[in-house]
Formats: sequence, structure tokens, C-alpha cells
Amino acid sequence: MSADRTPAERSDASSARPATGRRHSPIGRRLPLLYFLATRLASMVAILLVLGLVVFGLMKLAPSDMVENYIRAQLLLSAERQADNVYTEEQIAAAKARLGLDLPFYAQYARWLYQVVVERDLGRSLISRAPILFLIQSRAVNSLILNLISLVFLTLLSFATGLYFSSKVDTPVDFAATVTALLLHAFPGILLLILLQLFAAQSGWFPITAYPDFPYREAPLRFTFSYLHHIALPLLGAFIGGVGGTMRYIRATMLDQLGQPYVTALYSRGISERRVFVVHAFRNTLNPYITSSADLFAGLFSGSLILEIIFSYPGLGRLMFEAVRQEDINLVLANIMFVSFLILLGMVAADMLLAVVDPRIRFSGRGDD
Amino acid sequence: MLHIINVVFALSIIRYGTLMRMREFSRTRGKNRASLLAAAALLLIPGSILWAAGAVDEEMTEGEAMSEREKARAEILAQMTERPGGKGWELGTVGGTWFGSINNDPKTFNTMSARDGDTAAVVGVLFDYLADYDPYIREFKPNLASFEVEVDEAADSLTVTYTLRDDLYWTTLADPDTRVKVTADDIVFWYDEIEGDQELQQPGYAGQFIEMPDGSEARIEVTRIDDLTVAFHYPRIVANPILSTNMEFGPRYLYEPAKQEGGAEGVLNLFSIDTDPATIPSIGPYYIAEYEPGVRVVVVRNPNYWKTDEAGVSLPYLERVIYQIVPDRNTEFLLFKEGNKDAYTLRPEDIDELLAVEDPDFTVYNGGASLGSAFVAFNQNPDTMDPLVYGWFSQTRFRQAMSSVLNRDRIASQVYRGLAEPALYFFARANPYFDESIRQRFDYDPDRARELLAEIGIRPNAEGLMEDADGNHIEFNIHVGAENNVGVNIMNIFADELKQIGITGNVRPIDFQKLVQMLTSTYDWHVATASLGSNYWPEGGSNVWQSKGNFHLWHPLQEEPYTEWEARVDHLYNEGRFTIDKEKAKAVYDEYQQLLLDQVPMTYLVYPLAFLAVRDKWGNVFYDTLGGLDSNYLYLLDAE
Repeated sequence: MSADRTPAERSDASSARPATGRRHSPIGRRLPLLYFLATRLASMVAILLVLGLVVFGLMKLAPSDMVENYIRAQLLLSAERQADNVYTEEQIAAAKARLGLDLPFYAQYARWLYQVVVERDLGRSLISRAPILFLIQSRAVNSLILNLISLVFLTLLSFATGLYFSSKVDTPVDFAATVTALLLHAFPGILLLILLQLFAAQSGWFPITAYPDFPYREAPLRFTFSYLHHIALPLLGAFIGGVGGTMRYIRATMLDQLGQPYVTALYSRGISERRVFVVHAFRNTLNPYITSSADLFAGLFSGSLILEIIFSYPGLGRLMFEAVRQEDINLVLANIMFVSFLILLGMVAADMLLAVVDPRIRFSGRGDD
Repeated sequence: MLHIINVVFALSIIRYGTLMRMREFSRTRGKNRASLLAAAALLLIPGSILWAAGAVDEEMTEGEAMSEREKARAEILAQMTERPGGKGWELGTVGGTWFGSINNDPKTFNTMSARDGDTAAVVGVLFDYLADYDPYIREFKPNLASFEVEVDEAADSLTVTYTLRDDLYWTTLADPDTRVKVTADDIVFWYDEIEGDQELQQPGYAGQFIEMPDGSEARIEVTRIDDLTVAFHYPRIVANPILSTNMEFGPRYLYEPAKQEGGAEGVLNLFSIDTDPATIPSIGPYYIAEYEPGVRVVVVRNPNYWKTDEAGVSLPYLERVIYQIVPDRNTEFLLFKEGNKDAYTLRPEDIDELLAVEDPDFTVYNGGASLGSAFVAFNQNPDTMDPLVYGWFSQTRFRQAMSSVLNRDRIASQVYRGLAEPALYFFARANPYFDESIRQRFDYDPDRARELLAEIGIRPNAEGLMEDADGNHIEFNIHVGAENNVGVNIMNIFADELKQIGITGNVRPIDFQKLVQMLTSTYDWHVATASLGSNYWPEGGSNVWQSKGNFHLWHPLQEEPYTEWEARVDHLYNEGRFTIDKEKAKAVYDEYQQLLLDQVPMTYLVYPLAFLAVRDKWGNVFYDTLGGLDSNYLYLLDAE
């Protein structure tokens, strides 16, 4: 889950993109925002097209294909008391042809693109033959809820603690907090989840699965409370490691800002410490955080595979894991394209947000003209 | 354990570094004492763990270890209950909810495509078979239909007539008042238009054809006799006609229009998992009432199900079954321990923990040895094998020697803690022609292995390493699915035994899909271990045991049998299938089994014992590996 990655790590993956030094076309000079959006959208479409091709190619590289996996499952499924499952080579070839698996991967990709773009149909899962939208939608909601709660806790806790401990530098409290954050950050997430589940089983205070055992429509209010009870421990496991990393990052950035000459200047002008902290130094720590948070948006919809498997949570991670294992290309591609689209959208949004919070970026375009 | 120690050690190093910094830090504030105390406290935990890990157990001889294991095995089995099925059921009462689990979501509600285990378990509750095989008496019994077999020896043909019960109806949960009678037309349609349509690629399609004496193929035809009766006409006499025509089928009144409108795609798209399950018809014991993706499937009792107990009460007794979707086996185990699941199939690592529960509200049943076993296969494909290795593997004596090196008792003892039995038979116990006297004659005997190898010129050199007549050291790769920990352990034991006679077996754990690709497509392997279920039927495994089969692992898709013994196996396989006289058939199948055991193209390992824990609140719990747990008769004891 994206919440497990610290902004520092995300910052490594995507650098800030101030528009300084760029040579704009005449349209770009007249309508800079429109030009900016158009170029970003065009590059987004190009990246998505290439990405889809790469995914098809990678799936083709995997040993065996969906039909072979399916038939293997049939042959290994001991049909006790009934006659054997028998598949002739002709049947196997016919099945591959029906699903288009006998085509080169680029031809399969072209077929998929035609179906999605021209026929506006995400299609059906090759395995279950259920509409892709049906398979994704309910799980996407569950993943969104889990990741959103996790993100809120992660952000609030890590910003609050990062800010607080940056004001307590070189004190035992700060030292203890830094060590704790390091341990939290370094502790293996999967081990933490298993330990939390064992704690739930031993104490009996929490359920060992992460989802209520009755449907929402049966008792909405009871379901909501039950959901919060079920989700408490896995949620803790999901964000606590991220808190450690992000808190250390915020603290370090704050300390960096507090050492800048402009802060000394602010103090010398008699501006209160609280104002220096919150309005000036803190605001400047946001820039790299926003830049590196481009994939947060996508992270909200992506699954948390390990958590979902251990705690039986019905999110997108399990669905995708199964789809990849079974090489259900329609389902895999729909999800990858969706998540990639969100990442790219997040990058555009981050660029725009950066321009809003940082005047240097907002006004950098004028220097070009 | 080693991994945990490593993690703890790493943490202790981090903590040590931290403490050194703490010491430096507190020195400036005069808090050395507190820091050192904290350091001691923090190092105490990993230190004690490392100390415990370093403790050495008292050494035992191999004999003492075996004796200890045998004692532990006996103690474990003494705490379990044996209650095999096939006996009379108590009369129960209707009611109760059974909490079960499946590991994956059902992929479809369409019986045509319900092929994986979890989907089949869910969809299977909607249907029933024409006949039912009783593994205890090893005979078919009437189920949805009674049957009669008529043999015309003069014409070398055979007819099976099925007569459906008169009280069978397709009904749905959404509209229980609408009842559509099940008729012979349902069977004819399903046989001809669904299973018989090559485009639909149903696994039963190949079984509709019989090999004629001249090598051609002829189809088993079906005709409608009246509303409730159908007849299957065999073009030649076969030994087990019920097996190839016994089937479950869907409702014609829905599948036929779907096929007329949408062809093959039309029927394949029926009842996908976005369908409201309450609208799906059932003639089985349950309706599917609810499916919440990734969470649960709920099935409820079908009051119209035909089967009743002796008092005439409609089965099943269970009112509702909730299958929670739990992908992780450890979570399933915790759910059972917490009381949120009514039955649990034990893994070897769960046994001690469950048996140690004080005042348990469940009983652990010992179901006996499994019917099937994993195997070790020796590649004999001349087209894809390294000629040197092929030269060894293609010799019967060599394969017999390999079987003589396979220490099944050691595998059972070390891998399964003694809770497994050596797999020395070819047919499963439920097989009508299972005979205990026909067994693997090349069981563990390293001395005999050396003799067999010497007969083909393979002898130890001065260093004790086995070499063939040309001086090549006997060395080969053993492939096993990497995620199959049990398989990896077994193959390590095999490699160790090989080493003791001077042969090098390199265990190569690889991705399971890659292994399947090697076995079924590239054929570039030496020795591999996998599992193909049990030899439940004498005529089963047609694509495995016949030399032309695409799953004839050691040398598939042969146009003509490559070896004499494979030609003999092909002959016996076909002879047995068409021999209706049971005595004659037994003679054929006896030779067939012994030949495959003696030739060792693949050799079986062990039959693990099967254990099931079931809550004591349920009555009519009978469990064994022949019949499993029959949930139709389970009832809530408190409800009485």
C-alpha cells in the first residue's frame, strides 16, 4: 500500500518539477495552464499505451498461459467418484484460439484496445466471464475506505509528531521518539500484521478477520461499528510503519527549514515561535511532500495484498493477485491501466498543487517570457 | 527459527547502536546508570533467545529417534477418534447454521465452467448426479435415476437405461412456487448440446467416444425413451458403462434458449457471478442465497431436494451453510480455534496445538490414509533428454534401483511425523480392482539398489561415487515446485539416500508453473515430483497411462508405443476397459498394476493420514478418506 512508503521514498521516485527554464510554444505563452494540461494529458495517454503493451508482453513471457493453467487445475483436480477430466490437444488449441491466446501479444493488445476504446467495454474476465466492472467495483470501494482511513491517520499522526519532535530536538524525548520511529519504520510489515492477528486471537478483544460477517444491508449501523472493530488492528498494521518513516521525514525537513537564514530573520523581526513554525517553516516542508505524493491518489484504490490475505479483507489486492496468477489478462490490464491512470493523474494534480502552495513555482513561468 | 533469530539479532544490533548513542547522550547529563540499565534490559531479550537457540539437544541414535517418533505418533493417534462412514445414520432434525470456509471466491455459478475446487464446492450444491458411487461397497447406486444395463453380446453392443425419479423439479429461491419438472429432455440436451458440443470444450466430451476394435472412434449415442427415461447406446461392450454416462446437468429451459440466441458464448456467459444467485435453479440440496465478493457465500436448504432420511424427512438437515472466504490457511485455523468455524482439516503443524486445547468443544477425527499420493517420475523422452541421462533412465533396472532408494518410512517419519503410510499400491483403495497383494516390489533396500545398478554396469568408483560403464558419474536434477515445502523436504531425503549409495541428485525447487511447463510442454527435466490425485477408477488416467496421452509424463504423445512394456500397458488398459466379466477383468488389471509398479515410470511416495476436527454440537459426524464428511446428514444436537 502506498501509505507504507514514506514521502522520502516517494520523493526519490519522482522529483519536483518546477517549470523553470522551459521554452514554451506561442500557444504555451498565451494559454500556459491549458498548454501545460494538454502536454501532460498527451504524455499520459502515450505512457498508458506503452504500459499496456509492456504488460501484455510480460504476461506472455510467463511460463504457460491461462488455458494451460486451467487445464492443469482440471487434471490435478482429483475427480473422485466421477469420470476423468480429459482434454485433447485439439481442445486445448481450440480454447486458446477462442480466447485469442494463440495470437502474438501485440495483436492481443490491439484487440483489447479496440474493445475498450471503440466498443467502450472493459470486457469480461477470461476466467469467470463476469464483467470486469462488477469484479472491481465492490472491492475498489473496500480498498478506498481502508486506504483513506489509513492515509488520514498516517498524515495526521506523522505531521503532528514530526512537527512536535522537531521542536524538541536534542532532548531525551526527541531521542526516544526518533528511535521508536526508526524501529517502526524498520519493522517488517508482514510480521507486524501476523503479530497483530495473533494478539487478536490470544486476547479475544478484536476479531481475527478484517470484515464483518454479516452484510451491510442487514443492519447498517451495527455493520459500521462492527467494521470499525474489525478493521482496527489491520489498520494499525497498515499505517504504523508509515508513521515512523513519515514522522522522521517531516522532522528532518522541519529541522532543515529551521536552520535556514530566513527563519533567523523572522525571529529577529520578533515573529512568534509558533508562527515561524506553523506558517513559515512548516509550509516549506510541504513542497517535497506534495511532489512525492503523486501516487497517493492511486494508492487509495490499490490493494493491500498481504493485509487482505492475512485478515481476509475483500480488497483489490487479492483480486489482482489471483488474476495475475491465473493470467486473466483482461482483469489484470483493466486494473493496471486504472491504477496507472490514477498515478499519472496524481502527478498532474501534484504539479498543480505545488504551483498553488509555492509562489516560486507559480511565478517561474514569467521569467521565460 | 533461524529467521527469527536473525531478525532479533539485527534488532539487537540496531538497539546496541542506539544504546551507544544513548550512553554518549546521557554522559553529558550524568545519566550513565540509567542508560546502562536500559541497555541491559534491551539486550536481555535477544540475548536470552540467542542463548536458547544455542542450547544443544542431547544426541540420539537413529534407532532411538525412530522409537521416539513412533511413541509420539501413537500418542497423537490415541487422542483422535476414528468414525468411518458407510454406516447407518441417526435420525436428525432440520435446523442450524454450519460455518465453513473456502479459500477463493467462486469464479462462476455456471456448472459448465465450475472447475476449480472452491467454485465446484459452491456450485455443486445446486446439482446432483444420475448415479452415486458407493466407495464402501465399490458399486454404483441409483441417485437421481435408477439404471439398467443391457448387454447384447452377439452384436457387441450395450445399452444403459436411466429412469429419472418422478419428483424432481428445478426450483429457485427467488420464486419457490415455480417448479419446472426435470425430464429426459434435460439429459438429452445436456449430453448432445452441452457436453457433446466440441466448441464448449467440456471435459466430458472425449468420454463420449469409444475406441473401436479397428482403432476408429465411435460415439455413445443417447435417445429419449419417454418423459423420464433415456437410453445410452454403446457401440461396443464396455466394462463400466455407468461411469462414462453418469452426469450432472443444468436446466434445459434456460440453457437451450441461451444457446439458440448466443451460441457457445451465450451458454458460457450464463450464471456469471454478477447474477442474482437467488434466481439460479437447483435440484440439489441447497440454493445459493447470497454472494458477497471476497467475503462470503451463503447457501440455504432446498426443501424440494429429493433425498430423505428413513423417517421421510427431507435432507439436508442443515438450514444454512455460510462459507466465509478466507485465503490464508493460518487464519482458517484461528477461526476454528475461536469457534467461528465448524470443521477444520488439520495440517501436520496444527495437530499438537489442537490436541492441547483444554476442554475442547470439538473432536479430531482420524480419516485414515489418503487415497492418492505424490509421485517421483523419471523422464524417458528420447527427443528432449540429455542422451547420457536418458541412457540411464530408459533402463528398467535403473528406475527400479531408484525406487529401492526411496525411503518411504523415513519420509513418513521425518516429514509427516509418522502420520503417513508408505504408498506401495497403484490403485486407490476405493478402486473396484484394488488388491492389497499387488504392491511395489522395489521398496526401500539400498543393497538391492546397488545390485540392480551393478546389473547394468553402474558401480562405485574408488571414491564410492557411482559411475556407468563409460566412467560417467551418475548425477541428475530433481525438480520440485518451490512453494511445495513438503515436496522439497521429501526430495531432500531422496537426494540424501541417493548420496549414500554414491549418486548425486541435485534438488532444484522451481516455480510451479515453470515445472508444469517443463512437464507438459518443454519436457526438459530429469526427475520431477508432483501429484495427480488417486487412481480411483481402473479406466481412469487415460491421458496419463496410455502412451498416446498428453499427460503421459515420462514420454507423452507417442504415435506408437516406444517400448514393449508401454505397448503392453496400452493393451491391458484397453483390454480392461472392454472386459465385462469381472474375473477376467481382474486378471487384466492385476497385470496392468503390477507392470506399472515394476517398470517404475513414476513411483508413489506416501499416503498422508487425513484429520478433520468437527465441533461436538453436530450429530451424524462420520469421516474417512473414502467417503469424506457427508454434510447431508449433519444435524444440530441441541435442536432435539
